[in-house]
Amino acid sequence: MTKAVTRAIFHGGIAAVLLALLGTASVQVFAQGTAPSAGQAVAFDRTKGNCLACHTMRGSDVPSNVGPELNDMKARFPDRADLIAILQNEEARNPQTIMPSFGRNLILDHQEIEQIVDFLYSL
Amino acid sequence: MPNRRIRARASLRVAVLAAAVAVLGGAAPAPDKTDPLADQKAFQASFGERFPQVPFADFANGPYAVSAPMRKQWEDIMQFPPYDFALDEGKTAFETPFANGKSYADCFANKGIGVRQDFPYFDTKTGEVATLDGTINRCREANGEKPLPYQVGLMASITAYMAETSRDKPFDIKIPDDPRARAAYEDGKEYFYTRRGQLNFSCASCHVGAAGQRLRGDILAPAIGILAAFPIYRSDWGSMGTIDRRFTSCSAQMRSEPLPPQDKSYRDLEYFLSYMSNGVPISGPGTRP
Amino acid sequence: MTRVALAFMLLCSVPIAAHAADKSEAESAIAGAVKAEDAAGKLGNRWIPAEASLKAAKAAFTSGSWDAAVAEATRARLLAERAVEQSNEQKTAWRDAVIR
Repeated sequence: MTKAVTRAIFHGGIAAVLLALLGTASVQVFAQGTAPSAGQAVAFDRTKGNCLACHTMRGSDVPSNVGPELNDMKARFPDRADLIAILQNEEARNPQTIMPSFGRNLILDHQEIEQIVDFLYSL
Repeated sequence: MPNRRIRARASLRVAVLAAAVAVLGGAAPAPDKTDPLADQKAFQASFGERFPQVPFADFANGPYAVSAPMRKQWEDIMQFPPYDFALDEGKTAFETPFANGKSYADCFANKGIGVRQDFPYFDTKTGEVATLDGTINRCREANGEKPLPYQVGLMASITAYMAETSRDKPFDIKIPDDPRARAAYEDGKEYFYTRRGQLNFSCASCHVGAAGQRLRGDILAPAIGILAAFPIYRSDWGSMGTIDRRFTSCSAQMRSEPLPPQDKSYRDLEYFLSYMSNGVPISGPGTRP
Repeated sequence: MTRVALAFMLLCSVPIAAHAADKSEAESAIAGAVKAEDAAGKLGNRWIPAEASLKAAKAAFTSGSWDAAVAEATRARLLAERAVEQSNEQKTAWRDAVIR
């Protein structure tokens, strides 16, 4: 845990330097508000989110039930940060989860996670 | 676990207090104590509770034991078992003498008939786990023949035949009173429960936690009895495959670089899984989607 | 954690956005990735995507594409470092998953 925090601070430091170099405006490109169709493409891509392997949701053609069905997401997860955290590293919240740590293990980048959350909020 | 270690260090400093606590409340069990039989009981009880409708012996049939629709498909497939050709090939190879006149039968107890359930075993001479597949190749080499590739082909056919002669015999894996055997068991147990690869899965993630659940069209097989059906004809492969083929493909699906077939970790894993399945009857060769 | 992802994303965009990499940068990026992969290998935990990125980095290096070599090698190193971290965490964490 301490190591993770140290790493975060270290990377955060690099991020701060780069932010200064690039200007904050370019970061806003990746903020919420992408079209759900972009997120759906990332979510359904077997090399990216591959969400249908484990979850059933609108657009599924297979009845996967390793994870819970994804519907009514806005009501179930009103705080966007919760969904981001689940996609980033669910193991931190539930040590025995089968949900891959998509962000932490670099399966998805920050922009892709934001896109998937936009898509999830359309369900 | 780090907490427990810190606690242990602290209790050393205040040994008297720790002793008093132990007397009053009972000491916490040592985390590294190996008790395979207790593990096995807990493992089997856990699957029994998860799948109360499944008779214990039926865990030899993997996903078909826990999914009625899949069982129906399986019964249809079994009208013409897709492993039949391998059985014929394996029987012929098994019965054909080597160039030196000896044969596989000379390398096994009971001439190799009805012995599948005793593998893998701990070989006290080498100090390592010996699998059926590894023993077949050692037999070949001892008799001047080249070893067979481990994952497909003749190795799958020969083990298919040897499994078929052992059908319905319950797994009977032994852990001798030898610290090396317990170490091999413990290594296999650690391998089974350890997360690895980019997807952050352990074997247990899919075959304990999510056993019986649907992953796209597939049903995740329960870990108990999972090796009883090997080798298997897998529709997904379009051919027969051995335990090594399944282990390496599982690793790849986790985005973890597979180990070489018969690597020590894979043999120890097979030892652990088979010991957990003691009592489940051999059903191999099998078919899987 | 978001900041880590953000840093990674920005790091990846640097060679394109800020400056072009040269041969020696590509060399040291690949050396760093190889070192991290060896550490993961010692723990028996090489990740397939790390191997793939390292291979792609070496191929890009051979064809003189320094930017691509740096980008792939950086990704390989980050993946391998994460693999090492995973293995180190699991040295004790696996016990919490054992059926008792």
